[in-house]
Amino acid sequence: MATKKTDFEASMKRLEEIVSKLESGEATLEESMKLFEEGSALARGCAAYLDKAEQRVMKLGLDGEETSLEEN
Amino acid sequence: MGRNILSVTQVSEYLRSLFEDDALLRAVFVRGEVSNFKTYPSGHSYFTLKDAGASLRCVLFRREAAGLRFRPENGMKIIAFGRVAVYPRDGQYQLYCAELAPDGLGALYAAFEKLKAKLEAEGLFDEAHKKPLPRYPEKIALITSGAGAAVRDMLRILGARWPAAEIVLLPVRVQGKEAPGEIAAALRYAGENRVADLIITGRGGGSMEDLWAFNEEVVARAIYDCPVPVISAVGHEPDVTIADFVADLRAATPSNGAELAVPDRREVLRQVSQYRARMERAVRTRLSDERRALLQAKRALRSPEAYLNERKMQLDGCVRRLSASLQLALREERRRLAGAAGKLDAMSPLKVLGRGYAIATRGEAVLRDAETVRAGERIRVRLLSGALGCTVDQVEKET
Repeated sequence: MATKKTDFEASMKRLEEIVSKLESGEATLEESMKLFEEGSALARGCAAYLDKAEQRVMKLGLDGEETSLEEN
Repeated sequence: MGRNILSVTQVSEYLRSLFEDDALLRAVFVRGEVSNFKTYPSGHSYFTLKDAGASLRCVLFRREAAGLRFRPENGMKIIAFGRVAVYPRDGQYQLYCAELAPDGLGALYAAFEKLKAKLEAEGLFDEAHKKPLPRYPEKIALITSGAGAAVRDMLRILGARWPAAEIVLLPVRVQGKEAPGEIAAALRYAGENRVADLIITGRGGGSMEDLWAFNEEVVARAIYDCPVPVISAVGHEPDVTIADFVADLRAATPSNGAELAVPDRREVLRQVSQYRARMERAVRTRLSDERRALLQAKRALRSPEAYLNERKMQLDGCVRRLSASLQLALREERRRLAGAAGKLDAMSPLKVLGRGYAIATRGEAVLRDAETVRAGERIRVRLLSGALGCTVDQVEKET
């Protein structure tokens, strides 16, 4: 888990790739349109992830018992 | 009197050597209360150590002062380590301090230094072992007291900056006899069960004894062994604990730990909308480039003759410009040639003969001196037009 990239991080990285690919003009027109669609979806997803997020706090005993604390 | 008179300097020097040769005075621990503590702009500090019966002047040079982990203040009981030496100019002796420690904490300081040296030698502080922190943590474990300001501060800051991260609180005692074992157990539990992708452990400020759990070997080893990256966030800014050295990242305070753990949501949102704008700009530019290319191609297709004519006219223009510039160059060359010919003409011997001069020769040689010719020799005189074959009658020397 410590080394695995989280989904959000993977999305941000892919988004960054798409932006520089589009700016370089290397892709064909058709590829560019596909990349743009993919990038737009990623940007929407990332923004929604951040906009909707609400902090969740759990209390965890060493016996593995979880209790939910009040949400901040 | 009168037999063995010494100068003041000699007496001072004698005392100085006595002090220097004394094993106790060369390295002595002195317990006392600080008074008249004063730091000069040079960075050196001067103070007096007192007890009920006596006082001792002390000097703390800047280099040693920089290594202190506390601020000495008047009235504080401390243990000073250093050498006692004579200062001949003032006729004084004083303690040149190498190290100071608050009295009562001496044993703790010694334990701290000993453990630090041991773990450092074992490589527990090596940069190479430090794990990178996740850029956007999804789950953060807090190993700290469940009550108190530290956990509240951390939850507030984490919630404001990066609410997307789920928080798992593993409440532990952070001071007292049970604390080190509980902290170490929580670290092990969190690591083994991967309850989070980042751990913050710490507590709020307090005395050196209050923070002591984070100077314990079990805690240090649990941090080192933890497969999940650990931020240590103990006490206030100047407090340094063993946990700080072992952790993958040291935060100055619990709040600072929360800030370092996660990015600011608003900044990341800004980044996302920047990406979006850049994508749109790139695609818009691309489309208008393609459209322009298409229009051009279309025009060429619709009327190939007009296209060819246009190209031909361009070509004609080029040829015209080229020949004009060639002619200009040619004219210039011609002008330069005429100038050179005029100069050459002025130098011609025929021009000289035209002014009435003649050239006398014998065989091939031109005659310049009458004495080289004898009477009766044949010479030739060249005029502007024609020549005379002559016999010399008489040679007239120049006088």
